[in-house]
Amino acid sequence: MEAAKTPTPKKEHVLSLGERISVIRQSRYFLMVFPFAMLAIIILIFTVATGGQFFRMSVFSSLFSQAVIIGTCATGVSFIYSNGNLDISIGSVLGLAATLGVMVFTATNNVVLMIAVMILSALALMAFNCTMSVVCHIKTITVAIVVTQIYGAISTLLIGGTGTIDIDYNVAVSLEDGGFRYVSFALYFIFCIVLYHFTRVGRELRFLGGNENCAQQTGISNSRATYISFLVTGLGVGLAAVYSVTNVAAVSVETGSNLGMDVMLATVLGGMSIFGGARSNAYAGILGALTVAALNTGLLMVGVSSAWIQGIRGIIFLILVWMNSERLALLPSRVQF
Amino acid sequence: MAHKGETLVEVRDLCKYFGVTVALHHVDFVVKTGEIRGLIGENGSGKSTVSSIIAGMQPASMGEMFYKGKPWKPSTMLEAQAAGIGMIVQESGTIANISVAENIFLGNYGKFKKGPLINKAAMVAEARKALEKIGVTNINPALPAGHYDMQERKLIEIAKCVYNDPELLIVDETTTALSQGGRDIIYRIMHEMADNNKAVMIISHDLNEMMEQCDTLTVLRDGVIIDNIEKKDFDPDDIKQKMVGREIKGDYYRSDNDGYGDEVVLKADCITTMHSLLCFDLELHKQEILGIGGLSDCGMHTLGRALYGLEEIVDGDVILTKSGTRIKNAQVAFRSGMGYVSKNRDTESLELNASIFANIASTGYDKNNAGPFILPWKEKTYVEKQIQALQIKCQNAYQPVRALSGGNKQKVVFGKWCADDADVLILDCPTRGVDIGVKAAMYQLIYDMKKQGKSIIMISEELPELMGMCDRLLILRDGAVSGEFFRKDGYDDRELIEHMI
Amino acid sequence: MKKTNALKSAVALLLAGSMLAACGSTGSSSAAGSGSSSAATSEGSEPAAGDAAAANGDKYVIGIAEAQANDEVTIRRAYLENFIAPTYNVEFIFSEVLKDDAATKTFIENCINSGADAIIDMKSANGTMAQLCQDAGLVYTFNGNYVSSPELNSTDYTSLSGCIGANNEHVGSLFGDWLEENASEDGSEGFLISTSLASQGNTQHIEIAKALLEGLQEKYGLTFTKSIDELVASAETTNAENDKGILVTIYPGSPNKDTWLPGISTLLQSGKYQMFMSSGQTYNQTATVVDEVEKAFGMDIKVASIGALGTTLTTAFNTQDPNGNPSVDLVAVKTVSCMTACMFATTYNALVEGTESPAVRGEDNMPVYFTFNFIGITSPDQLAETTEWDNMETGSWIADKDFVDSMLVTVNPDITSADVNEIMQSLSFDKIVEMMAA
Repeated sequence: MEAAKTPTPKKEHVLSLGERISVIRQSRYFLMVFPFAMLAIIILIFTVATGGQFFRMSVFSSLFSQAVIIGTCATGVSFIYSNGNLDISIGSVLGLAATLGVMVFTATNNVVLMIAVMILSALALMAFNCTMSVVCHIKTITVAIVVTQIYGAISTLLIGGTGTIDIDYNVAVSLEDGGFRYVSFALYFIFCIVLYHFTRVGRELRFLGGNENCAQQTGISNSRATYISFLVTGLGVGLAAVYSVTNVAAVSVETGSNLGMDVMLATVLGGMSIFGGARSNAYAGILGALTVAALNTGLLMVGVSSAWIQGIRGIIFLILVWMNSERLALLPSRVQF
Repeated sequence: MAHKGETLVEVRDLCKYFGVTVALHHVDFVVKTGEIRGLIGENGSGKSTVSSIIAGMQPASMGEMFYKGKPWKPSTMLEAQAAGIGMIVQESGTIANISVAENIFLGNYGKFKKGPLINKAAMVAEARKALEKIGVTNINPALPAGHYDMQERKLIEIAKCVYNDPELLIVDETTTALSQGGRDIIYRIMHEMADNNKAVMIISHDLNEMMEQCDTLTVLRDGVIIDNIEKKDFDPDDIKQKMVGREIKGDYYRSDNDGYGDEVVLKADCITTMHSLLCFDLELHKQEILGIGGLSDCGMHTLGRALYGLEEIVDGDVILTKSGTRIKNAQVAFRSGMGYVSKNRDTESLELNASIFANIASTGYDKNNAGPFILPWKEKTYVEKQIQALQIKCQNAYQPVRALSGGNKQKVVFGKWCADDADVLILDCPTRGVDIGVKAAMYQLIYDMKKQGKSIIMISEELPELMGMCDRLLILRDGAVSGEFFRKDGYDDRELIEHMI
Repeated sequence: MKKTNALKSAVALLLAGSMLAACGSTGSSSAAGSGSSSAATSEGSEPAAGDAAAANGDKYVIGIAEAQANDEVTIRRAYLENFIAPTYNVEFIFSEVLKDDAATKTFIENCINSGADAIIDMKSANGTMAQLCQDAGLVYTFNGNYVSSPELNSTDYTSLSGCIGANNEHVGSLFGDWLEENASEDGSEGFLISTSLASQGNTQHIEIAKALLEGLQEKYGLTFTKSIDELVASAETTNAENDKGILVTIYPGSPNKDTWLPGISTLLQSGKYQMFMSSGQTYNQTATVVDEVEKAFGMDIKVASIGALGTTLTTAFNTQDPNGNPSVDLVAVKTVSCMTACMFATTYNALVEGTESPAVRGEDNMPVYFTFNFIGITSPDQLAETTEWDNMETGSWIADKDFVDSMLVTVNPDITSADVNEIMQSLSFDKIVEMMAA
């Protein structure tokens, strides 16, 4: 093997290039910095390739618009992932919350009420999912699969006929551009970062995700942590429901479809494992979502044909995921067998 | 047929690097037929590395190997197995949810194949033969391996290894997980093999065991062979010194006879569990080191778990007498100032993928905070204090725990509980798989805790350490106390063993 | 090990880099072009400013938002890329399959950022998209109708060039006429009508379902117990009871849903239906079931369906059932190039003259509903005539240069929206045969 060819380290330990690189890759900062660096590099490449067209405020605000829904959900869901749980029902939760909110808005014409209904119903639905899984000891993924069907059916039933309910375009625009979106996202994001990285919540979730037995022996309650993770997600999904309704000034049976997968992709691209554990964080989702948005926009602006975009994007995703993934060369771990 | 004393395996100038870490540094040695060769050394000294290279689990970075006179460079364990080198590993080598028979013939299904199908009945029958060959009859090869406990699963691995009639058998830290009965099986197999002009390499931390069983001992330290010692030259103090590189006194247990307080801190009041225990009573006093010993299936491990709220208690209560708190689960136990070191270090006591920092900090979320916020600098001090106090060997605190050697892992476990400053500590096999250097440190630590006024329950399968450390010793048999002994009266190990069996 | 990894990383990065660079270079000319044209559009916020771009000798850039990936989309793309783009010096940006309105919006935003001048929307058709285009000074043309997107039927959207949709009345009449000719005198054979999305308001499906029910009413002089509108809007399988006791069953639901085919199969396997009419493109999905039932009951089921020219249709017409009949009897096909030509022409006219041009808007300056005819094909012989219709390989398009020119203000400065509609509604099987011969 390659390793056999490495020169014998002398007593003073001269490092080969490969070893230097591996030392950098194993640095605990590498995985933290890498996704940021990749996003910056992608922006740089597209800026050069488009002769500066890419580096404009309008492009960045469009990137934000594209990333915000997935990013908000992914920020919330990172709490669930950290704990070693998977939940793919967020798309249908978002759809149902958005539907309920829009119906209330249609009836009352009250924007504040609409937002409140969306957030509260998302919280309630996520709490229900969590209760099902905690109380009945069903895996969260199983619960998610079942409720996805139920929530989807309810949304379709409520929306009925044409498959969409429109809301006043001007209301939507004022919510989207009138600062609500930016402010609420910023608040939620900061809330999540603080909760995750500066309180015991994030640490507990990571620990539970890594070794539940061990965490329990250290006095950490899995059900409490699971509830927190689902409620934080519920809040995010509720906000994302508002964003997605205001984005297209309507709710439809398609709202939220595929969100679960998009969120997973964003999380992975952001450098976090969807299986949670020690290296989890709360910002991978938004980073990943921005990366996806930057790639989509950039490739289109560079003039890549849509037939090629999918393939190229796929390859870049693979490379990013591969670079992001944790492959520490370790002292012999014989558990592998 | 090989003759006794012929060279079976030769290792020349073998080196192994993990990045900048040197695991083996120009190692040479020879294993001869008819010999039981012991590899001994501290955790991380390279003994497992060298044996795993011979068994094809990983390639060497440099150097040559010869097996039966020919160059030897196995690329997989299966290749080594086919060539006659079998290895029983330290960690669990069985897969829980497939049958015992499938485990035994894992990767060797070929002979039971009938077209695309596998003849399960034939496989099970053959597996039964394999088990009988090592004298095990109480394991049903048709059941899933997960059905059996750790010791029985170890026996399954042994059967698997021996079934292939290996020329060289490598036994890596296997005996520590076995009771005396299991150990006897392994010893018998080893000696049979040696008598038949085959060879055995054994790795163990148990110096007494090694001195008894081995013909030659190879002492390794920091990836370098320090000495090869013939049986006639075995001297425990000499070997220990060679292993650690400094002088270790024969007696590293406590030597005092300080006694303990009268105050009862923890009480088990007629507790009954689903298995093992039936109306069990226990009192732990302040400043007491209470030893609990017995055979591995006597219920002592269950007792440890039950006291910490990890085992379902059907009837009866575990109570912290001072506050009157009933321990109904581990969270209550933790919050009420108890700590627990599981005997399954890797699966229960540590989050292997997390850093040393995260593991130690896990007991301090309620201590390093200001309101809901955790103060990173406080947390840092909390962790660093332990790393220094326990002299945990690591590059930095952010290294994942799984990259550490067994002894250092155990130090991390101790570190988190030391930092937690728990008043009642339940230690289940605290020194399992740990070399004597670390062991000595652990004993000192336990003694220091006692002196600080803490109460400790020490569950162990090793009588010497119980006798060396405990103020009071309970011997369990079939889930009940069969004997109670006091330090002040002195211990007699024959009497203890009598109560165990 | 680590060295290999480092090596691999380097190679992978290099690969990614070179790939991006390659994209950059192939797209650089177009990127430059679109870049400057976007500058032109952003100077004036009115869509009409587009003609300034044309005067500058720049290309118009038009974004095409597609909802599906099927034959129609492939043909449209080939038509636009291989024929329209070089002939009229325009450039197209094609979307991936857009799964929802949010995706359409993202695509349009990206087109805006890439300097597009117009959007042709095959997916979302709503006010949000029109407003987005208007705010960025892009012409917006969409496929659909004003019934499901009523907000677009107003002058509020100054950038809206119009809506292009099927001439549903005509499609309905194709089915109605076919029924008149092919149904038996006593109506004993049983009629199964798949109304697809009619219950959800899809105009084309409503028109076809209505035409079929009206056709039955006329032919047998029967009266349905419920009104035809009610029947068409029914969201569940309904027996349309009537005074003549003729078996007419209405089966709603999207053929794209998994539950559609099993439902149809169950009904057909009862052996009670010999006429199966579908307002969606379903003949390929049902071919096997129809064949099985025909064999089992020894009968001939007549199938009428919407369709598209292509190999599946050829196969369907050339596959004969046990009675020697083709497995499909009427297919109403969309001529993709004609429809696309109409969308392009309208968009182009709006770009050149502004949306208020009489070539774009109606006399009342309201947005116009441009409709195109479907072509009915009833026999393998007729189908054989269509081999060169919209043939991607040979580049033989129904909507050739003459056809497109006839709708463009740059060629016919006096053309009106009514003229365009007339051209599109004059299409028929015979007319196209004539056009292709010329």
